[in-house]
Amino acid sequence: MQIIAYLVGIGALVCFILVLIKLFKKAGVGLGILGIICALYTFIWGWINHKKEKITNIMLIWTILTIIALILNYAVGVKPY
Amino acid sequence: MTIFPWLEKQWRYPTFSSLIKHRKVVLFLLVIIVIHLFSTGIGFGLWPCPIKTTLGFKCPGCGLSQAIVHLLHGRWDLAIKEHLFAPLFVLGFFMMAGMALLPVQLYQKVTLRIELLEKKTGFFNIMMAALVVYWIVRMFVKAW
Repeated sequence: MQIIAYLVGIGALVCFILVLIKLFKKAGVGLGILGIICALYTFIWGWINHKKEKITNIMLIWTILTIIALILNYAVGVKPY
Repeated sequence: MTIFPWLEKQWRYPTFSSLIKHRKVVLFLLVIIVIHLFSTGIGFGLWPCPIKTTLGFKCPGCGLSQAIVHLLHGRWDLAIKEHLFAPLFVLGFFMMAGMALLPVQLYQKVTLRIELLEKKTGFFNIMMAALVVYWIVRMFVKAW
């Protein structure tokens, strides 16, 4: 179960970095840094701009992985990432 | 040397005003922030940091939510110990919340003023750069 949790974490991190790169390119360095500080902001920005930036699939995968991570953390008791 | 014009452009880019340009986005962000802070406050973190939990080291914003919760409870010492920038983020949060209540025309006027101020001073980008410096220092100083 721990391995699954770790893989989910790595997957979520990859999605986060992919969206973060787009955020840096499109919104500038200031908001890019804000995106690092607050991954939640990157997540929201990703969903707001998913059609324009063509990142719908990445956002869907990231969302699913986050939900799995939360379930693993709170229902099964395995640390998500 | 092409880095300086690029740096100048980034420095003066109206980052904060581009964030608060759309009222609906601001309201949405405020709701999400409140939910996030509430969940952090009751110890049920809905959004764990993907950097810290996967790679094991703190990101520039790690501890910020907890520090803001401490600050909102009036525990200044704990808040500052947890994250030095918490008061600035609380200030930003209340500023956004206050602005969201303004009438549309006044809201646009204030946003424009902030944009001009940012183009002149780059205050938000300076804060972000300072945050990165703080993060680097914090990584090497155990007391933080």
